[in-house]
Amino acid sequence: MNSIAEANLQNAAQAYAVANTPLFLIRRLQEDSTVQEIATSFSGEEILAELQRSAARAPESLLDYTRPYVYLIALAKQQNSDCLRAAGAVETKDWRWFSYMKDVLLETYSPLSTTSVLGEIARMSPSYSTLTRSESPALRITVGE
Amino acid sequence: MEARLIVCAQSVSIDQRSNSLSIFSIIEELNLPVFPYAVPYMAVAILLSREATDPSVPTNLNLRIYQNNQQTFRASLNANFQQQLRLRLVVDIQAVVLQAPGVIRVSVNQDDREMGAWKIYVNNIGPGAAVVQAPPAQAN
Repeated sequence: MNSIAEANLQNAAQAYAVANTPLFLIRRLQEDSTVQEIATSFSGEEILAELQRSAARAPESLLDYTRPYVYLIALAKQQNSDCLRAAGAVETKDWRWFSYMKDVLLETYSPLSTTSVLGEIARMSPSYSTLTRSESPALRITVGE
Repeated sequence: MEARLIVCAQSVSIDQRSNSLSIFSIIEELNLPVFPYAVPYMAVAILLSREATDPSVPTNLNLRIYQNNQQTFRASLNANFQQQLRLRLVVDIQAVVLQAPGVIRVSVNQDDREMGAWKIYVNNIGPGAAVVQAPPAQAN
């Protein structure tokens, strides 16, 4: 998808239509592949901007009611929680579950840091993956003498 | 701040839907035929927790590897709790050379304070002799 507005939210809208509790809606939207695609394809700032645009208009359809929740869940899937926290400042009076869902997502947000480090051989040779045993005496292996 | 868990494994992954951490093929020991030996890849999963009064961005976190009580590797770790009280750290280590059999200890530290460590027992199982399997001779 080239823009968030192009996302197919039919499944998300169905989940919203049958949801009787906000926790149910959170779980269903977390499992939605379109929500995942939005979270991975766009930055937190882009999603937050789209959330602000969608919440600025009075909802007129089922999709309009669904959009802010979708964008909220997408923000919760980002590596950085800053935009999720900023979503709390968005005026969402027409979406009565929004504030509660935002609080739950922040409460249960679990940050992750990943790091890649290189050991001795990788640091000695940028082309570690192409090293053969015959090029490195330290790795020479003799079998069956 | 403390390390609630540190473990070395062949693979660590994060489920995109549930955001849960999974650890596959925990490395408890290595049975190697020859030394020195280069372990091509190892993943370290660390769970850190902090008190509310601890800084959200801790400084001077580092990972160290000891081989038979000698430090052979050290790397700085960047961590950001993002105002939460728990943090998952996944460290991918590529190409660690093991010089001799014994005990490998992978520890996570803040400055020189060790918060947790994982031990890997390294055994020398020898190269073994090559055995040529020949088909039985056929009678003419």
